Amino acid sequence: MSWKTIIIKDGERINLFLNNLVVESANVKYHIPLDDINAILFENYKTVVTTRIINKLAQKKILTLICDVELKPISIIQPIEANHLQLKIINNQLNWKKEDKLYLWTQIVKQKIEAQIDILKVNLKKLEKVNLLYKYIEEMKFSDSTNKEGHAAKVYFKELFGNTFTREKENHINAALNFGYTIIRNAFIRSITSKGLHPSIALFHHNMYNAFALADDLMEPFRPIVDNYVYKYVTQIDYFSRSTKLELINILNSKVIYGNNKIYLTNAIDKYVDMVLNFFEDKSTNDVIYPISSSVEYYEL
Amino acid sequence: MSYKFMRLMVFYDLPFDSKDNVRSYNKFRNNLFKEGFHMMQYSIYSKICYNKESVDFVIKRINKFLPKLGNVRFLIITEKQYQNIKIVVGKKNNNELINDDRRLIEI
Repeated sequence: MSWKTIIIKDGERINLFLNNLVVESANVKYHIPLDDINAILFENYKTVVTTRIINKLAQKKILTLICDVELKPISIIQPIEANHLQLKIINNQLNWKKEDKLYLWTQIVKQKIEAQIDILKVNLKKLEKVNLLYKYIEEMKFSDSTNKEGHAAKVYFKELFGNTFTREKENHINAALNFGYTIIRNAFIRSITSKGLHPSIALFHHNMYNAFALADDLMEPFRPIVDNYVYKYVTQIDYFSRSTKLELINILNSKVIYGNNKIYLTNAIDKYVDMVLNFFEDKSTNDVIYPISSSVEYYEL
Repeated sequence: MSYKFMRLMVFYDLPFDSKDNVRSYNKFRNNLFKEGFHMMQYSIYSKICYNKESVDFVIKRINKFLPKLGNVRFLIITEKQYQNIKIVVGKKNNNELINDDRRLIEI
């Protein structure tokens, strides 16, 4: 049962001692049991890490991110063999039928727009825009061939962050959104690889430069959770600060209604990827459950 | 503070008279570290557990490497009761400060 998120800020040296992560910081040694750790962020470029602990972190499937000086995650540590049925699962994944993939993709996009509607409703935005988004869901064709997703996103972002807002602009809101998405995306990458799936073979995204297209596909319904946080807490301030970054990392510890239970977001991501796997085995979309974005309870530091 | 976090404490007295006994003591102690325990005081070890089920799970695992001789006890209390501990002389050690029920830790 893993639940801790650890940020190595001033730690000078990291090594392994009997299944414990040892952090040496200012001549003090801290021992943290590896089984409790859900995610580790290395923030400090001066930290020395032994190869032994790197391997152990990969084996335990702990989400290990190495960040640059601005706390932006750059690299991720992953095991080569994440699942003992690796080849079988990847073979299955290669044989996923195109219709099934596009069918699931249509469902995912619909869910994403539903989640966006949810966020607009919670924040008491204009009803006409909400109805417009509902219309987009109705009009959606198979595999979203008319790109309703893009239209919906445009309407949604303009309604949430004001009329002049675009995702291309460089400002603190976009920086916060990108940062939050990266954190969730990396959590997805960890979950996908630990199930034995290959992250490059995706449902819809097929950009040849994208190594983690499957994560990008599956995470869509989870994006509005970040949007809501940014709308609530980042729009009032005019600078994307370190403490906001920490809170965005902590989004993995927030609770969300998933199915009938309120569970932590990391667990929800795991369950969701499991259900996607099951979908390709027995083709019932009823099994794939999506989180209710407006129900998120942010964990307080 | 979340109510469901539990604290599992292990108390032991182990014989130290022969080479075999010392070996079994070392083995037991290292296995406790592997399970994620930390030393509160000499021969008192504690571990924070996510809920009651994970306490049962850890106990099951400890039962597999118990020493044959000596005296070993478990005590299970809630994290809240544990944090209300009164320290009269001395202070909490570093590992104790970091291994509580916080979900985000900066070091």
